[in-house]
Amino acid sequence: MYITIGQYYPSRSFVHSLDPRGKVIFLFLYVIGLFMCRSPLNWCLAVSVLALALKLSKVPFRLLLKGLRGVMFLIIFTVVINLFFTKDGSVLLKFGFITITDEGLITALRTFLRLCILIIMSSVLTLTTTYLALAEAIESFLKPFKRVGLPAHEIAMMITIALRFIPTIFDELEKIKLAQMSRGASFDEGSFMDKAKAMIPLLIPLFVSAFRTADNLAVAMEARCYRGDIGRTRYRKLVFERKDYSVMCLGAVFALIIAVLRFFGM
Amino acid sequence: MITAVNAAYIYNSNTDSPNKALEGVSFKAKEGQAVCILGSNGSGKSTLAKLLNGLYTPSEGEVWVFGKNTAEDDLWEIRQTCGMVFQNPDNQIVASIVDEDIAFGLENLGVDPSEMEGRIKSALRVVGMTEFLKHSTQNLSGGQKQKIAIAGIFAMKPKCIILDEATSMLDPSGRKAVLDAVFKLKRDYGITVIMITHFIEEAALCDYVYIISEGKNAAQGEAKEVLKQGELLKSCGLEEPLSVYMERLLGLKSEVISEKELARRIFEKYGSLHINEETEKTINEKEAVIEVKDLSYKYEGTEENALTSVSFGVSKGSFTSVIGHTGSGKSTLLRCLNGLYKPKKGEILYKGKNISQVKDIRFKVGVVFQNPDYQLFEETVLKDVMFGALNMGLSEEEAKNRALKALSLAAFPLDKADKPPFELSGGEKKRAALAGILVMEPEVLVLDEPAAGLDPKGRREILKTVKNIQKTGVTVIMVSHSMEDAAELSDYAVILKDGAVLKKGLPSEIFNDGESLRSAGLDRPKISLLKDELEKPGITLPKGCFSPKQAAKLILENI
Repeated sequence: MYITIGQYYPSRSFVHSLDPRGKVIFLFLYVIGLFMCRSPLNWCLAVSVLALALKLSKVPFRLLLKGLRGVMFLIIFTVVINLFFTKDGSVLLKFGFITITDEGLITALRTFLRLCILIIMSSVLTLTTTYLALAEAIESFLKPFKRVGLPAHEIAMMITIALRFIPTIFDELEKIKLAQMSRGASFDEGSFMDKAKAMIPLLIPLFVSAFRTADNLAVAMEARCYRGDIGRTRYRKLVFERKDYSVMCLGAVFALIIAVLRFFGM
Repeated sequence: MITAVNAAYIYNSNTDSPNKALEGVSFKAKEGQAVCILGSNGSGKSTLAKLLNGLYTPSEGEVWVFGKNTAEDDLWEIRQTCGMVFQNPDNQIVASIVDEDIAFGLENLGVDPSEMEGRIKSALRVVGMTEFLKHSTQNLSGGQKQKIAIAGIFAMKPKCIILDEATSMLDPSGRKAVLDAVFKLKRDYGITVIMITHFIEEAALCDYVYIISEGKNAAQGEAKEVLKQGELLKSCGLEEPLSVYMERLLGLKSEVISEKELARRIFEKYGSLHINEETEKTINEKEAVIEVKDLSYKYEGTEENALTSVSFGVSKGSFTSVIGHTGSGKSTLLRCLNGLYKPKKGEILYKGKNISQVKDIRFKVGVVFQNPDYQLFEETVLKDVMFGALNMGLSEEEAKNRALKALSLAAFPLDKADKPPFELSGGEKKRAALAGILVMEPEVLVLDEPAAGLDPKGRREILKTVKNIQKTGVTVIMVSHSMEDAAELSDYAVILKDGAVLKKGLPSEIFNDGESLRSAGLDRPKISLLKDELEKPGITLPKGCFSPKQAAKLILENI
């Protein structure tokens, strides 16, 4: 399995140079717009903004497609649910207990597009933003809640480390799987229960290893004088520039236009 | 100055089963010195290291770091003066980009951000990785990751750097790069180096050596004084330097010296002699049990081949070594041998038949992975070993019998067969994992660095076990980073470089060929260098002799 979340694609593109906070807000606004999309015109707009983001990020499309492939099962599952369980509209096909309606087909298509665009756009964010920068953004969003006792720095650090270790854990899972396959284990035969049982030889070594990693990392961080948020400075100071405001505005304008178009039924 | 006075440390001191790891240990490192803490696995040397920078505080006694007591003074300030590089390169990198990772320590210290970039850049310059400033940390090699960790510590301007077995997971060239970087810090910046290791050649680089054995001081002194005491080293589970070992067997004065000097002294005592009888077995290519033919493999989503047109044969009952630097494709090759990976081009034959058509190939070609933690999962060792046999469809009864047989073949202490695998020592885990493959009674046993991470004694013992398994008629294919082991044990060797076969042949053709080995990022075994030096004054030993013991025996027999 190939996962693009938690990976970073080093480059000096425009999107890379943006403030992470601006990017997160943009993504949030864009997603609001995306969930309002209905008409072909709406979709054209959404795809155009996506294309612009891709162009300005210089991330190879190949890489994004690979990230998409990793979650394709989930997408297809959702699409199929939509396809089979939408009962509105006129019936196109009836086969046993399966009924496909035109409304169902359109909903399914919409869901498919929506999820694909959502994942590609999120990947653009994670591929162009180092997770430390991302964590700084999250920390600064949470800062206002610090006064009511929310551990903003700790939450951000936890997210950072989780993201840092996602690829490592997948790598380990792959090695464990190969090691158990060498002992004759198989993971895709038999009933559902058999398959669930076959996961035990994978999950136990994975958990053991994850706990050990966590333990080692904690010691290593302590040895490098980490003690939470006390007297810490930041290597890169986040500065909000003109371009960051523009990107945020782009997100807001996009969501607004989609809302207006929908209001007028376009 | 860093000192430990009568220090003790007890793990789980509040529980029913306290475990005394250190007792009455004394230690002293003067400023600007390189001090080695030498000891076998489980000797307590890593615990001592963690006492020395305040990660642990001693249960008894005191530890002083540059005038501060670790039990009383601010630990944060102590750690600032005393940085630590750990064993596993992956578990100490916090950030995804090199410069951000180096900045982590500076941020914790509260360094002014305007000062950081300069400090990060100069730290990278010192370890020779300037061009990696904006690189992703994930795609670096183990040696490069360790150098980043060293740079991260250097940027914090420490007085001392502690290496806790920092080279034990690296290949020879990675190890050399890390050691070079550390000794540069000592030489150019006067930084005190404390090195925890079980590699004798690393200890020889230091000024002063402490040997820790079973949680106590076993010896201390200048490196060359301590390392010449062969019997002492052996009793502490360590190995002797080659020169000391040879001197003992040949009745010379015990001293740590270069191969050249050793050759001179041997000649002085024994004069010239020529032993030409070849000890090497020739390999019968026709009896190949495994034949790799023009094998290529490419990982999905990568541009370059991981393996390119690899061909070689493995004859029945032989011992074949596959050697190469990290990333040369050794592990990929092993995974192809039992069909875990399907070749993109070419084929692998098992007894003349393509392995994709051999039913149960995984039971016939058993692959033991490097890290036993990736396969041990059951409640007891015995149950875990039975897993493979049960997958073959054997009955519980039969699986149990086979498991017991496999455990004794792997020389696993049978009284521990009912223990959970997680309570075992590193060496025992390796044996349990090995038994987990042997239980399937494979004809070919494939091992990925079976001795990695073990101390010299454990290393010797497990390799002996592997050799014994070969003697029962099993064909062995082994990946190794130690040229000494590979040269001594194998009947045939294959050098991989960047996924292609650089050279293959008999040990005499491979391990005396410094040029090929160097171009593959490897080195000649020390005994091969010694034989070269011996030849100059006129002592010739068989080209295929790579066992120091046998070399000494031949000299003594032929004078």
